Amino acid sequence: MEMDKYLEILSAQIRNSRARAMAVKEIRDHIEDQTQMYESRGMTREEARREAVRQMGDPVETGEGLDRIHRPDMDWKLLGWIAAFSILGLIIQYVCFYGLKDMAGSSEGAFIRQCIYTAAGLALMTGVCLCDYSILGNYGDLMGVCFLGGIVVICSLDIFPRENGAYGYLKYMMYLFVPVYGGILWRRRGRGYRGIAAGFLWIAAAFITGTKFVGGGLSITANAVAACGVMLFMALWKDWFGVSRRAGLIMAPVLVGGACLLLLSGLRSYQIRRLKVLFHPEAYANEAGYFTYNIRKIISVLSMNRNTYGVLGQKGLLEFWNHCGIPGGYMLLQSAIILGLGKTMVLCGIYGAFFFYLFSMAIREKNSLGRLTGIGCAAVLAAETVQNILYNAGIGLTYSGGIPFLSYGGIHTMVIYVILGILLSIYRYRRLVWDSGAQEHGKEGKRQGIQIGAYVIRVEKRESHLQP
Amino acid sequence: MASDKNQLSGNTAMLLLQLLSERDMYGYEMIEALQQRSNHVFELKAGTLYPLLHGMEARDQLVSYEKETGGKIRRYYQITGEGRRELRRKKEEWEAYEKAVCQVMGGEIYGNG
Repeated sequence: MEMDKYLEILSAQIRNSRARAMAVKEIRDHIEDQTQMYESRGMTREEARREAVRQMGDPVETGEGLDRIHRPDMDWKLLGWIAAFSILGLIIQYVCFYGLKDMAGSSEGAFIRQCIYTAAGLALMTGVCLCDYSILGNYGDLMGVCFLGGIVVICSLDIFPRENGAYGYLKYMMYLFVPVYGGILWRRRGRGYRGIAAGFLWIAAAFITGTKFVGGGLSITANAVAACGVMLFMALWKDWFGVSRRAGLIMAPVLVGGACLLLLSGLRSYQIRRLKVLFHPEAYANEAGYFTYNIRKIISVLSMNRNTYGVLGQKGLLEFWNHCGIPGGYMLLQSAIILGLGKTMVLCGIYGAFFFYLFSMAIREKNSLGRLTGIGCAAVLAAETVQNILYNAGIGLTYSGGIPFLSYGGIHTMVIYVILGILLSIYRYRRLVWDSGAQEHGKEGKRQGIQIGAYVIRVEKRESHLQP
Repeated sequence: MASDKNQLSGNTAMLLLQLLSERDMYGYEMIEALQQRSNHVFELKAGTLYPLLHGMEARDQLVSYEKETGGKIRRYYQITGEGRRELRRKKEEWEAYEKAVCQVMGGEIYGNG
């Protein structure tokens, strides 16, 4: 059988196009090596090729064997986690808020709307999960330009109405920059210090877009920037840019310091006042410390397993609590008031277990783009959750927008499920997406040899079977 | 003499893991090494090798990466911690099997003479 015919029969057995291309290349290389070996033993090129193909065995059997392995695969555990958490979130929201009578801040039909948002989010997540996430690596820069540029254009043209001088409803969109940033960093492997500088500049661009154009929602932009920072640090640690790990470690404090400076430079006067409030809320109880001061007072009356909603009225805290906008960012504290602190702490533990699963799944991912993007996506969700827990505990720096699965809101819910969809896609395509290019495991993207201008001179040991 | 296919396939994974525990290799290299070190007893077909390698990679026993060698970009396989644990398990199973065969066969050649 001719080599091309053999490869044609073999590739016809493999359904996934990426796996097909990879397997055909690997087996073609194998046949070439075998042919060279037979030629070195005195066979003619034709004879050698024919014998090499014969030695390969049955192409149908081999192709079927490879097809069985290289199929998209669903992470049923993660899907189970998400489905269970979505249902649990809706139950908690109903039991603690929407299902209660005379609850201020609960607009008519809000719970039904949130159920619809959740169902639409799950559908969107499924759609994203079915898409091959490696598109982020192929078009990372383009997607980054379109994403940030699109937000800048929308905000600059004043097409949509503002809320309190900001495009608050766009703020959650900043989370979607995190997976795009994974693709941007991936494209800069082996680019040395230029690649690192580009990584910094993209984070700065995202920060400026979030703070100066979207406006408001600083905590959300901070979450996205922090997740991007984690990704950049991971890339430095894994020596993606081809500089030494030591250089990466030296750059880490620069990275953190730069991020803090960026954060501080973007703060407005009321946000700086909030920092002071954290330490002395009682001194600002009637202005910037109003929320923190009163939240701490509510926490002081909470019981481990009793409903303390009635106590809020007795202590004069009910008016404050009704003004908080509970469905957005205060559902955890509402849960602690209605269900008790004990059950709410168990809920926080469930969040911890969920994120432990997300991070362990992302770290185990073999493909470098998938690993980095997975860690970024898990980091941004974890950052939002931690920030929300801290704010509900009266120790938050800035107002937290929401928490996955528990907060009301269409855009927030959709964005969270898109991120979860990307995490599912990373798992789904783990057997179908490979690191490409000449790279050695653990030294990704490192070019060994002496570089002169556009050329690299490299000396390698000859393989024994290639010797004449 | 090529070994019976069924007899060989059960332990091929162990042999491949052993080779990769010594150094990273690409597919063709593994077949060559196996053939040379077994004195041509194990002549593994490439059609058997690649599904086996890809399956082990899916089970996290191996990782693969591309590396340029001899002017060609080749897919190298590297054993992981999970792969080393699997190798240890397979070796133990093999030793138990070998010991049992020796005890059944008896005689001087099997150490029971």
